[in-house]
Amino acid sequence: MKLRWPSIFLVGATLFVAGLQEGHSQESRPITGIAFDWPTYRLEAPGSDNFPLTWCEDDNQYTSWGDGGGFGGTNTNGRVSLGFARVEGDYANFTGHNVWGGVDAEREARFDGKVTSMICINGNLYAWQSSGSGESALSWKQIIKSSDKGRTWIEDEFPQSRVVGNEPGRPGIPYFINYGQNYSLNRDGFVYIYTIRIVNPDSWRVQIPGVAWLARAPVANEAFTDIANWEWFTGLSGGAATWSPDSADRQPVLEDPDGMLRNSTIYVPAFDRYVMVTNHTARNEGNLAWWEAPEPWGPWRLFRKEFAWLNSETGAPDISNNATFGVFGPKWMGANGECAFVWFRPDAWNSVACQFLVDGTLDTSPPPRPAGLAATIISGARIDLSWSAVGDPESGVRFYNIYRNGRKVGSSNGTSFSDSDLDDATSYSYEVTAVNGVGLESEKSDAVTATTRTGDLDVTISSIAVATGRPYRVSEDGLAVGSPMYVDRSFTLSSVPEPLRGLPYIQTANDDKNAETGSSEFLSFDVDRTVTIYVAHDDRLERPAWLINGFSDSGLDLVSNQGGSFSLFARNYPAGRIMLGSNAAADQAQSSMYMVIVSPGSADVLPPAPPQGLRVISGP
Amino acid sequence: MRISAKTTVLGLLALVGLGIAACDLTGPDAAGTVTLAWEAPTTNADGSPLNDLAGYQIVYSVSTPLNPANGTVVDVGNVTTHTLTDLQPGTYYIAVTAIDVSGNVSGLSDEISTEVMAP
Repeated sequence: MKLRWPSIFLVGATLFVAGLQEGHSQESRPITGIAFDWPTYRLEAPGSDNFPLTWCEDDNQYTSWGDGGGFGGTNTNGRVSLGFARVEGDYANFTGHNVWGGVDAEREARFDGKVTSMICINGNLYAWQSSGSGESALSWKQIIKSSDKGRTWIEDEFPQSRVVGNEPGRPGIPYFINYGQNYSLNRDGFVYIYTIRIVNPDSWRVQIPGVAWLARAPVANEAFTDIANWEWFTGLSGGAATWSPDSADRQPVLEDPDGMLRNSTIYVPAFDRYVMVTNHTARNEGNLAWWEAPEPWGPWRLFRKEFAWLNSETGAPDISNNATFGVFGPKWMGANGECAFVWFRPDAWNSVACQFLVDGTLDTSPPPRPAGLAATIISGARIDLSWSAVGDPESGVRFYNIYRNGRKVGSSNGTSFSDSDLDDATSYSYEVTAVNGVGLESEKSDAVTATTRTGDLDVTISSIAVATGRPYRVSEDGLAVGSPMYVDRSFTLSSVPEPLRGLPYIQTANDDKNAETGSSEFLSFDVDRTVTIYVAHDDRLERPAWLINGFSDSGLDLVSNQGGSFSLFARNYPAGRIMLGSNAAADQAQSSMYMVIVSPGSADVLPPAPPQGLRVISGP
Repeated sequence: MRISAKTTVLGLLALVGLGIAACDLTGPDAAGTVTLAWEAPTTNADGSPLNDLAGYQIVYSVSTPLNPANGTVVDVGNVTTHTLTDLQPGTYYIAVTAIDVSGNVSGLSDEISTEVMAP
């Protein structure tokens, strides 16, 4: 896709704005996707964050930041709790200028707080301000106003606008809808405010499940600054929205089981649609969702959902995927659906030009449910799952969700998942779903049940001593296909028998394959419980004495990715120090060091008595 | 079943065999085989009842006292008789160990010796 920034902004900027302000002749077209133009990526204001945006009649956009020096500052240089800035220019050449607080600001900041949403109406800036970030953002938010483009803000001008309250059932966390320049694209004279339901009032985290309500109040006489004038969306009647002044009657306009916290919603004039951005699941992890609707009350349809956004985005900048939240710049909406998306992460402004897509078919059907779900019991605390991939012809499958006993426990980009920290000897039921490119989730797969192993399977291996002093180590990840074998080679395992999967093992040094050959005291370590020691011994080598006396052949083998086969010889030990020998002397040009796998084992460490009466009954 | 130390043992046997005079055949079996029998243990090493016996290993060598390090170890399963075959002429020292299901291996049984004649 080609973005046509120069033609839009050098030639058409004022034209399309003027055209839109004449009316809403555009045919409403559903937005079906968004494409980002990564070469236009910019990072600004490092050390600062939040960055809501609105657009005033002076053709500048205005934003706010928290805990940093704003544009030209750093996290410490010019740091203020709350700052405001002016963003001048088209996206291709925008510049930020600190107005209130921060480095080289026009005015000093006069009070603390955080602002998460702004609108510009009649040349005045209105912002939702809290006293701080973190939990205090949930205790109250109020509207503050500036009549001089951010140079002056009066705290507590509208105490009757205070909402939130850090307890369930209060109005919720408020956010404005932006309607073009200076609110000029608004049709009905109302200010619209989404509020996000507070489920957990204890901390500023994604509220799960997510519920957004919608309130409105007249622009006239700044009626929206007093919640007594608000009326809440209560549903549809004959296709028209219905409203009630009683918040008890309100109905959600959007719900997301993965949660919500922040909200930015903007009118998109090119397609006469609304686009909403939410975050979900967990903060600061790139969990963003983009929705679109023909009206502020919906129906909202998801057109993009990201987990760890940027992680897999082709061409995305090489930055960590800890995006927190984002907004679209109102000034940067083009006549053909061009856009610019500004997101922040701790801590910086990040932005990129983008394009709303309408030509695609909005994928409204979920992908098929996954099949072939299988569980492998790894230990008393871990079960591994695998399933067959499914496809979605419309928007593709992006990831899979994993449910344990009906509750989501994680997601996977591939067709496998390890569930750990389980209770031992406990039965668990698993299901998986597929999630497609627009975030629609399939029905659940058939369930599979597995029971973790019995017993306390934790074993601690400590005080490893090696005759050569090489740095052997315990791999806590557990033995699996792909596990590294040695501390000094990249060899991995290509085959691991099921009974040994997930067990801790000692990564030895392959360079020790010829060390002190014939020694019966080479490697020692402590274990804190009864164990079965499996020594994975290279089949090309003579089996040393210490590995014969007292060890038995388990009949199991490991196979390395080099093709080498390692027989597993087993022996039980009580808790305490275990001493193993070295490899046997032999031509070891083509051979490897052994590995040691530790299985929290049978309590039986008592050998049988020796057999009696051995005799030759026929022979020479 | 896995036989270890095969190369070494065969090498030693070849050297020993050079010094052994031809012997008359004294038994009905084919040359180079020895059939062994033993009694199953009924207790663990501490005298407690043994109820998880899994099988046996035969250890044999041409040197004494027997040491698994320079002998041959054969896992034979849970039987009380076994025939060793393809033995080169010479004197063999043989013992047997018991193994339980947890993999615990007993000490060696009393060691016996037998002579394998050249055909």
